[in-house]
Amino acid sequence: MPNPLPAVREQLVRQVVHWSAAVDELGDLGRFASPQAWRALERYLDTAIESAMRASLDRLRRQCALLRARLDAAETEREIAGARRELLSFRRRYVAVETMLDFYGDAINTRTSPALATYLNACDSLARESMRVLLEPLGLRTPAVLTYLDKGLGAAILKAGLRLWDGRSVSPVAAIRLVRHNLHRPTSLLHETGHQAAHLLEWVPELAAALETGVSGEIGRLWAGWASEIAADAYAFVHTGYAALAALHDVIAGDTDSVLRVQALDPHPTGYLRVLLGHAMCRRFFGAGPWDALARAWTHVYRVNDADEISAALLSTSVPRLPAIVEIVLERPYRALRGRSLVDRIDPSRVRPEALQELARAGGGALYRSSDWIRRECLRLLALSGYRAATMPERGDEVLREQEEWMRALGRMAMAA
Amino acid sequence: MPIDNVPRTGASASLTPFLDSYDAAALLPPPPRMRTSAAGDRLHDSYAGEPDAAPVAPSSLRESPFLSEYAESEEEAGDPMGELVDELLDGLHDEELDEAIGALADELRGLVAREPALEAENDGVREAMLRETVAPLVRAAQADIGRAAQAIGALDLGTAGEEEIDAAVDAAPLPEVTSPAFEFFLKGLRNKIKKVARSAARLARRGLTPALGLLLKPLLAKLQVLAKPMIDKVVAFALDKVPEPYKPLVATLAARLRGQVQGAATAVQGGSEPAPNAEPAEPTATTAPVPQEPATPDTAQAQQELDMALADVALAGDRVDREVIESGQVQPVVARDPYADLTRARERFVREITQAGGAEEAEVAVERFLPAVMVALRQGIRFFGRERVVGLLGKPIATLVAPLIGKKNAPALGKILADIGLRTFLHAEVDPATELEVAGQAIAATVEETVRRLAQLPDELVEEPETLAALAHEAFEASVGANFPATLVRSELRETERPGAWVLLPARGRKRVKKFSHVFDVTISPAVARSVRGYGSSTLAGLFRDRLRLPADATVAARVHLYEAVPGTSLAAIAQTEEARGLGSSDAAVWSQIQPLTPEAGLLLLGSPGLGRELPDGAEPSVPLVGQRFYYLEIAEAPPRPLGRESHVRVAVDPRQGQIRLGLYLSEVVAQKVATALRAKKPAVTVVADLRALLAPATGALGHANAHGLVRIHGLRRLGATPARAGAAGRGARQALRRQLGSLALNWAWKHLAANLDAVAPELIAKTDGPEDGVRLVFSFHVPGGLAGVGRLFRGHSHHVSDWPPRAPSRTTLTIQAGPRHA
Repeated sequence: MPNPLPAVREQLVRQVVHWSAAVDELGDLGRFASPQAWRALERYLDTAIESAMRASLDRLRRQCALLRARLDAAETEREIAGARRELLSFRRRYVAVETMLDFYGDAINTRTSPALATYLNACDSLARESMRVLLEPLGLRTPAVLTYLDKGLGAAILKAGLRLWDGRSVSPVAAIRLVRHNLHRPTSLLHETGHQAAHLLEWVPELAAALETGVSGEIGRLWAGWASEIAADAYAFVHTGYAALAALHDVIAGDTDSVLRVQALDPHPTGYLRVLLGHAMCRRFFGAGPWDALARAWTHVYRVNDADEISAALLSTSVPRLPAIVEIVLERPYRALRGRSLVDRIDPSRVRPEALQELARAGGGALYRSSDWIRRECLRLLALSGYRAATMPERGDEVLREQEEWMRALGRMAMAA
Repeated sequence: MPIDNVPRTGASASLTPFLDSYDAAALLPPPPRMRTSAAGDRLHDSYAGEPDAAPVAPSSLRESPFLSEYAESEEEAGDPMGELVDELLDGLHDEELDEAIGALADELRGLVAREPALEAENDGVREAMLRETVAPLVRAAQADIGRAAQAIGALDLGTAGEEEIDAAVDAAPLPEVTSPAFEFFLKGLRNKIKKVARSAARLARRGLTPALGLLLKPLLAKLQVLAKPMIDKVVAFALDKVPEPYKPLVATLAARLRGQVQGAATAVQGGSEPAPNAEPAEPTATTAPVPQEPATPDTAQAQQELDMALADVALAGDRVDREVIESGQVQPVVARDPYADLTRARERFVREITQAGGAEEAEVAVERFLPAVMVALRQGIRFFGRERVVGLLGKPIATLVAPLIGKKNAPALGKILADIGLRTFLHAEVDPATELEVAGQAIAATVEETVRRLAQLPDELVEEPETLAALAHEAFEASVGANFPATLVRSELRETERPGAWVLLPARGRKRVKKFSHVFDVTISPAVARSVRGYGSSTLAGLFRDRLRLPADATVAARVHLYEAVPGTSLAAIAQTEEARGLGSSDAAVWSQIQPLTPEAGLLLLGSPGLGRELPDGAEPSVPLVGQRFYYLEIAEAPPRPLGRESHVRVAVDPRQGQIRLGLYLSEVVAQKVATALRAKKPAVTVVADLRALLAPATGALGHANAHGLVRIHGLRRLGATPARAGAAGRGARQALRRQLGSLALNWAWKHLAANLDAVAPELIAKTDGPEDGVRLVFSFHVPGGLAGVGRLFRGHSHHVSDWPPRAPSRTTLTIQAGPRHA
């Protein structure tokens, strides 16, 4: 019987040549995102992403070169088997790197037109500003943000600093998915940046512990499991007030079961409680207001009695504790926040309706056009636009036009020189 | 070879600018003995560290700009033609067109810089490509002027007012062009058309020209014809060439009328003369030189020459050949390229000096290099004459550089310099050939600066060969301090104790700038930011607040990048090629962040005043001066590109009209603060007080010694400006008068605003509502009497003004405009 090793080796050589060529193909980043889309990014954002992509590619190239060298040197059956194992491992790495490149390429490619690119640039700025105001005073660097557009109901984030698919690269930016239906109501951005900020400050474990001990009994552990999402909701609230609650309401307001069912492993609080927690935050910091009507309608449409027995019990037990939970989340000092509470760090009274009205009065006709107002007050402008959209639906078109005007101006400011 | 092994003799280390560890003194001759002539005495004083003080104006001068000598002298102006030309040129000139021409040149420069392949091409290819790029702009400009001329021609010019003419010019939308810089240029040209029409109307009203229609037609025809050569000039600027100046007929005419042919011909060279106050009072070769030589052609030349040509048509109409004007035949733009010559000469010098076997070969290399340095130095030729300089300076300089050169010493020097400098930029190992080149470049830079320093000295100091040799030694030492790392230089010559070296960049190809290899990490307090002044009325605090939108009370962390201008440097090119955050574009909004590194800035930001260079009066960022230093603050919190403009103040004095105009530009940040206060119905006195505080850094510049560019006097644009006979004391008087005029106008402005704020509040608020950045308050003060005398004083004709300063203007108007434009 002829020695099979040369044939095995030959098959391996062909495969390695194939994968080597495939790696070369990956090197053209223009194949993942169009040059126009790359150019539409804020200059330092594209540098950060491209550097990360190229670093992964370089690592893959080195691994490929190593694989070729190993195969070239392989003579014995054992050595050839080792090269084959290496090839299989390389294929996995290739797919991981390709997945990463595809992810960023797709994200960048959502800037399909100059208008959309400008709008998403504005979202990047809003997201970054929302983190800067918390992180900078604490001596932490604000990560770059890449907002991209996708289908679906809810936003999501790939946090900066996390390990990526290849297990080696680190996410260079906070990549935030914004869903199309919420493009003009992007308060969900701030929920996602809340995740990023909490991650950088390591606030979630501390908050979870506080919730577990602060909310007595069985439901304490339940609420502790939701700490990550509660922190993010609280973050959106302190930045944009009622606008965040209204937008959250509209995303969550699905069928009865999805709103009322308590799922043990879901990191999100049950929809029913999430909205009522937002309402409790508004009540605590703003007093009476349009959020009361929202809560009345909410509890009228979604009745605890319609939930399954276990969920109904948990919901009923939780509702009276919401004011206490608000206190734990927003007003209690945390080590992560350097001994201060979240509302000490970001004052929600700046986005109470009276304050927003005062902002509109002070800014007058310049509010949505002046580079000074837009850059200085972009987060409160988002709160104001969201508040007006939520409370004046009959003037929805006008509110939308105003919001587009200032967001496009903000996006243009963020464009590279 | 270790650097310590350079052979030494027992010569005193104090004779060399270098430290013992790099003892070049070994081979140096003793310094020439000082002469005891009058010039020598002054020189000796400067050695003692007490340079002659600049003439100090008596206290009476500081209080009043009018010296008794002016009051006693009775020479009157008596130059109606010269004043008419001045008036016409003032009326034609448009600052926005200057900006547009600068922006166009920046864009074209950026185009070349962005295309590495193009950068490597020869001049002909680059020029052909740029001409092709601007061809659509030329067509659009000519078509727009033609259309506007037709529209104006259709008006009844006997009755049409300025607004009607403006409306006719703006009736059609701007031609569609491909870049914002092209569009800006076309807007500037429309301004020019309007100014041509207004100037012609003024002349017609005074009966100085034929009927308006008969004058306007050839004027606009001329403008249409000259659009192309003007754009060709901009192409030449973008390629760092110097277009030959236009020789206007009116200059000759006016000069003949005054019998001052020579003076006028000099005055119209379009920026070829140094700024009025550029000469140091009593310079020495060791003091840091006040940069004077433009590093790049002044793009303002393009409009100045266009205006001259238009003035030819307007004033010398009967004398010029109409057929030539209207036939479209114009001389092609001829441009020379002194910087390319210098680059080639420098490259040859670097090769020769690094291979030279001793002082004799070095002398040959230096003597071959000096002419190119002199050609690039306007003042060098003016002061010495090329032949004489080469003969007198070649040997002493060669003797001074001899210890650094040759196969024995240059490689070791190059290694040190590459370690401290070039490697920082390349982020890679440097090969021995490059190290050698670096050593040669440092020597070349030292020789160039030595010559520059000598060129600034008054003629009488350099009359004698021995004196010149002594001065060369002095200048060489100081130049070593400026071009070699501190670790190699004697402590008293060091500009800074910080590590680093000046490196010519880019490493390959035509050198565009010198950059200091060390980037400084600094924190800037609000107090320091308020104290560091830039061009005009700019301060760092203004830049931070108005353009970078940083909180007013923030301490700013920044990385400071340092640059030095060499022949061919433009701030646009620095901004284009640098990768520091906030740069990376030749756009004016970007390069205007680069600030002059004055001794004051060097002290406050870096603790090293020696790194700074004085900012000459009237210096403009669009025309960097060779040897001038700059810094750029890289700030992580700043936006990717600056927003809007900084608050500023400008004063324009029109003696003929008896009018002072003060333009107060409120940046978007300041304008919104004011509008917010007005909406809140705060008392006028409070709003004005707050505004005064907000603008204090900018308005404070009116009282600063360097107020030249802030207070502009009409009628001094070209002819008869800044007469030499006024002398240094006259300069002081004019400076004092500028400050006085500025302060006077500002006080009147604040008073008028406080009294009328309630009335103008609705308009002011409305003007801040639009998308334009900021708002402009333009105050026009009509001054009874007085100003005619001021005009004559600025022209150098002595005059006694008995009722100066006026107590209050006879009439004040305030106009409020959205957006930034000059007053």
